Amino acid sequence: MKIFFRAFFVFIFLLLTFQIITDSFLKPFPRFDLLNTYLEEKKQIIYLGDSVIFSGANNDTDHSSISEMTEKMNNGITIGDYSSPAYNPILYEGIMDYLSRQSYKPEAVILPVNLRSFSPLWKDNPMFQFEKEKFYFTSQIPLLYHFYKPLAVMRAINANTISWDSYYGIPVYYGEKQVGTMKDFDNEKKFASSTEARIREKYAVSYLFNLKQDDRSLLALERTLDIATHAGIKVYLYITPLDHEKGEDYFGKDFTTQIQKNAKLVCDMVKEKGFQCLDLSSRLPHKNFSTPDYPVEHLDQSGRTYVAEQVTKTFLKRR
Amino acid sequence: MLFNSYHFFIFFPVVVSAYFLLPNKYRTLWLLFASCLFYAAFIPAYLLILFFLIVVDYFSGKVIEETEGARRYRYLLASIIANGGVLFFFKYFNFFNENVATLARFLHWNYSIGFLSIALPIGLSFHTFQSLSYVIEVYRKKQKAERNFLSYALYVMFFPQLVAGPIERPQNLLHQFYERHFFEYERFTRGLQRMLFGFVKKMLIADNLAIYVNAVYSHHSLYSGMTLFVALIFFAIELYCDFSGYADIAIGSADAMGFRLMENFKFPYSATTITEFWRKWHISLSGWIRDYIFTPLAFQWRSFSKIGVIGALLCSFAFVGLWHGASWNYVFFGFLHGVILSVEFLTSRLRRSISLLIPSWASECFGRFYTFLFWCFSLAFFRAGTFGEAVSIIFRAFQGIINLIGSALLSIAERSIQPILPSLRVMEPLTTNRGHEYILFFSIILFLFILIEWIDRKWGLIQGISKLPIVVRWFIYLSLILGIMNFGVTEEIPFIYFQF
Repeated sequence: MKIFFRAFFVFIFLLLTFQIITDSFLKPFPRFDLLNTYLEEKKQIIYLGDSVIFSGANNDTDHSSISEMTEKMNNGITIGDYSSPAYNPILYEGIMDYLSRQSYKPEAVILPVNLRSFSPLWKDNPMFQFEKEKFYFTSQIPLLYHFYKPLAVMRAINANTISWDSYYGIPVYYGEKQVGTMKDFDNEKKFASSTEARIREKYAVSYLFNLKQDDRSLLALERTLDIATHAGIKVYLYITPLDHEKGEDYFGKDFTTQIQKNAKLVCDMVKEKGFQCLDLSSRLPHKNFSTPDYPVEHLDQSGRTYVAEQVTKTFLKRR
Repeated sequence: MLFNSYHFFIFFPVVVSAYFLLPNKYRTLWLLFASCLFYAAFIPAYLLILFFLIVVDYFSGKVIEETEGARRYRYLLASIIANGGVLFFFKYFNFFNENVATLARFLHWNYSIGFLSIALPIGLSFHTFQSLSYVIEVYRKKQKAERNFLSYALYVMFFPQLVAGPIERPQNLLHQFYERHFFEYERFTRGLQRMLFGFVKKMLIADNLAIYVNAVYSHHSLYSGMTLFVALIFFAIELYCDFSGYADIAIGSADAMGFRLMENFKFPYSATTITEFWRKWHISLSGWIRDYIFTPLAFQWRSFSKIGVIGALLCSFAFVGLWHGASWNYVFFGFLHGVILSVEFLTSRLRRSISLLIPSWASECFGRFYTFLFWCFSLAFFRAGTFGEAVSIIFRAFQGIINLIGSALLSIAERSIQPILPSLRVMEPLTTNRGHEYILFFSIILFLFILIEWIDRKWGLIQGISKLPIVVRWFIYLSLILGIMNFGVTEEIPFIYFQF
């Protein structure tokens, strides 16, 4: 038995060592290093956000992202762009938690909030839960993040907080009225189709829900602000512009009314926490949006410039 | 408790360590306690069902042994009814009820018995059959009735094979609970090696294929014929790796403690006929069916000559289907195999003469191809939700192959690769989430499967590896564990046979 235990402990030691090496080699979450680089470079501001920050239109002459434009407009301020497709308030909480525990903390975090990120299409989508990212950001034991996958495989941590089955069963609302479940709106056959009826449907499921105070994304946003307050990090929060004109073409003025209602709920909470909130949700016309057949809020050059200017004027010039 | 969860990785070392540290007289009690804990991790209340079956069959065994004549038979029947009753209530009542209700509607009868909403106890068909085999063997005087209640309870509940077999026979397992087991380094590590290969089969191969198969089956109408064909093949490999992986873990964990469980698989995908396949696949079940259903029926109907054998085959395999689950899909799956076995039985002489005319490698290749393909297609009835779904999947997969052959011929005629490309396109379901690398990923998974099977068949996996130098051995173990840890799936995918 003694021989076995001796061999066993050597084997376990080797296994753990090789796991760290393998994980570093496979780099399952390379963007973790990017954030650490920003902190090492002592960037003053971290710019979070989803694909809206860097996506543009084909005919743009300047392909700079909103964060790059903002940095150019504010000479002397260093900004680290930490935006990525589908990032959302639930992940922002993890990022803020990580930032709050570092010896160097950025002066501020720019937090664009996309109203669509509160829709079930995004918030409850199994592909956009970012469990791995959350684990990396929130694990406080050194090197533990190298064991994310093994722990998830062994079900010691839940890497699938939302299953596809439960996602497809989530009810979809137009305002207060249930009009179906996610299976009716987000199946693979419909995903590829871009008929007018389908685009209308996408707009409805993306924006026409009635945001509630107990929404888990909104609660996560609230906690993000609390963490920032405790850590002494400023938060510059704005609501991403969306194509309200196109929405009105399909649903009339009710569309903008619902958007503004949801935006107000977010901003009220933000103000209650002592932060400023810039609502850009219905500020830009249809021509500034680059994808006509899908509500993704991607902006053309002038749209991105407008956002960068508003961020500069509202937050950075006053800091 | 799932073998592939961290609970088991805590449970197993604790149980094994305590087993070897405890004095021999407490070991049965300890294993029984551990087995209860293992089973209670699913639904604790269902321990009562097991307890009921254990008590019934323990006392049945005793009274059967003590009596003779008609009374002896009546006790056997009582035990079969008690076991079958439990199985019927939990597994088949709703199926039966649904069919009676359909019949009643058809005949305009007033029938209003409601459905039961109860979860099927995990592995019920396995331990019921194991328990029944004890009573039948005692009745046949091939096994002495067990006097020690704890030993008998452990025979039914022994945790490695409690929920998905192998369905043991009392002659093989019961006496082992009286043997004294010492810690032997070689045997212990051999058990761990077997477990490791079981985990590789389940967590690395089967679970990754399951993600693909589940996605295709749940939205099969969205996928092309070729994708469905690939899903049919993937499911056959998934099922084998899932089930034989479980058997490896069960046999390995028992071996580590000094117990020998029977083998449940013998390279079934190398079989050249369906008859041979069933001698290599789920051996403990096919042996059970052969000994307790097929042979008695064939004997009973011996006066009908070949017709009697075919009747016994069809009945036995319909039973095999029904054993798997309460649905007509499973019955049809079993019956289909019964039909093919009957055809093989009737044409055995003809096939032998044909095989003499062609080279043996060609007949072997053809046999393997036909057996594997038939198995893959028949599994559509096993996996699909409804009969209609299974037929549609088979039909469209078949269409996919016809298209492929047609476009291949066109490619040859035109001397261009272009015509065949659209037919080769296999879609990646959204949920597999592997992006452009998914073909490479699944190719590696399939290569690993073929490699493991080939080495095991050629040299014996564990024996082969044991002969290698320690550095190479450890390199293989570390690579396999790291493979599971980094390429295993994070979704919870229970062993397929748990549901039976």
